[in-house]
Amino acid sequence: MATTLVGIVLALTVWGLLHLPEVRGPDPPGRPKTKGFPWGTSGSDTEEARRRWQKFWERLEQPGPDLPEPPRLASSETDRARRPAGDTAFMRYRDLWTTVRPTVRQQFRVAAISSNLDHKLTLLQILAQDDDAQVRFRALVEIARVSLRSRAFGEAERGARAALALAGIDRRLRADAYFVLGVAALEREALQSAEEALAQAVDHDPGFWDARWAHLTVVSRQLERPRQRTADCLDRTRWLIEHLGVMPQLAQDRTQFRDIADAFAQSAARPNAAIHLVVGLGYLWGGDHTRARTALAAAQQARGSLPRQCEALLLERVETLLTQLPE
Amino acid sequence: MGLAVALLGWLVALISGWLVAHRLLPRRPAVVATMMAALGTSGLAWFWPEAVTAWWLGEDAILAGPETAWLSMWAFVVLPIARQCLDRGWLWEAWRDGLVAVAALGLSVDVAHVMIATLGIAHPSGVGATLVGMAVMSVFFTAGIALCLVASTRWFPWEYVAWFSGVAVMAGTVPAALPHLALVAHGGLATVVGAFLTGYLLSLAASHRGVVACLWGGLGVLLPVGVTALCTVLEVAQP
Repeated sequence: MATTLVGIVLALTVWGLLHLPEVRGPDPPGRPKTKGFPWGTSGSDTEEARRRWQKFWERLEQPGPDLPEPPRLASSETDRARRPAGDTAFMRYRDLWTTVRPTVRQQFRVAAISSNLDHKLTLLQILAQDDDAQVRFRALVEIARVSLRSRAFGEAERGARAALALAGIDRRLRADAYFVLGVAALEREALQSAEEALAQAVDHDPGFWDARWAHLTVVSRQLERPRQRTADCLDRTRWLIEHLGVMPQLAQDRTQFRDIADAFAQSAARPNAAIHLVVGLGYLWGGDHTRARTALAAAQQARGSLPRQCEALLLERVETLLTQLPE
Repeated sequence: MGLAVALLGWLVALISGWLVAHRLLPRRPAVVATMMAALGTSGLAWFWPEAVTAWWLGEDAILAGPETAWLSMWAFVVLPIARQCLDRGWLWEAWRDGLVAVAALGLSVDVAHVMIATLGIAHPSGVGATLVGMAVMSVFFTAGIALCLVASTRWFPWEYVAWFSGVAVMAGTVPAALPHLALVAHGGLATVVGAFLTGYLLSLAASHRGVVACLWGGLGVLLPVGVTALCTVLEVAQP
């Protein structure tokens, strides 16, 4: 009796360990959250991710039969008043600031230059009571940012969430609140929530360089984690390539291709095929074909660290790239 | 009878935990059910009630004091420091893993006793009894790991290993009650080091799925056998 039951326990254990549940990544922004039982939906998730991946590469290979071009933002998404740096929308988009009342602008400036933390927070609390929702939003995000700087992460997240609860705010402003949320989660090492919030930040403002950089960091770390789903692996790699292409465009600095590739090549402890692919593309778009070839060749060696289907698709791309690369 | 119920409870815990992890059952009630089952198994079986009663009445204890498991205690201090995180989530996971470890050890001791009696092994401290004890312990150690893994999204349940090795050392330091565990307990250091070395090796191979599947399968055997070998070496090396 006991022996039989122990046998069943052993069988169940081994079977359970071999079929460990995969860790579900965040849903892509813009899609409703998946609910209920994914019995059968995980397959369609993979299919959808594969379709997104194929479409993404078709867009990169659009210009012609030659090497793929870096992804670029559409001209509607780039703003003439845009400046690439800055973690507030008012720093990135000059024209947003002009919509704020001059007296309120003055109060924000006073709060910004105040070196006394309590005084700064008092000023911002007053602004957080303002009638204008946009001013209230900005004040709440500023309070969250101050908390983030003093490493009060719970406080920062509460502030950002309170800001996001306000209705009728410009999307580019909302991206700021998501960014604070994401960075606070990243500091707490809650990679899953960080990934989710930062993806929202990038989705709300595609021209947000800082959010893209933070998301790049989180996604590359998520790619190294075990028990990853195929769909998540594909989506994450796609995000990496997109950031790699768009960030130099935002900064109007083509050397960033190389910088990002260098950073990845040096930082990853156990680089997987996705990281090698991104490094290879970074060198390729930076104009260094020799290094690109080395990185892509290394991708073929780094088998076995990603979900099998995802890795097969990545290696397919790697092989195409290697044949396209001029000697 | 109690033992059979305990074993069935453990099976229910394993199955429901797996179903929850794959989202075939709604999360909250099923997690609670899993935990209750694990808790129930530790309470129903013979070992823990006996240990508590003995401690309560001041009789000959069958469980040594927590001071014998000082290495596991240290692991609990070092783990959150290494992870730079001490929040409610960690606390809950540490306690949950502890519950599972306690249940797994209690059950493995009881089942081993029953099996040694059923198989008609005369010497409770002989080679045969030790082998049976080790085998049962490895089964439940691995089952506990499986339960902890399906209950969380983490890679390796370090806290569970610390709990299990700590409780095993505490239980095995009193060889009169648990002859087949005495070997493990003799090398308390070896137990904890062996447990953590296994975890570390697994984490090194974390991203290589095929390797990991083999390692998981072999883990239950690797740990007790490795520890036994280490203990024997230590025993022989002593002057």
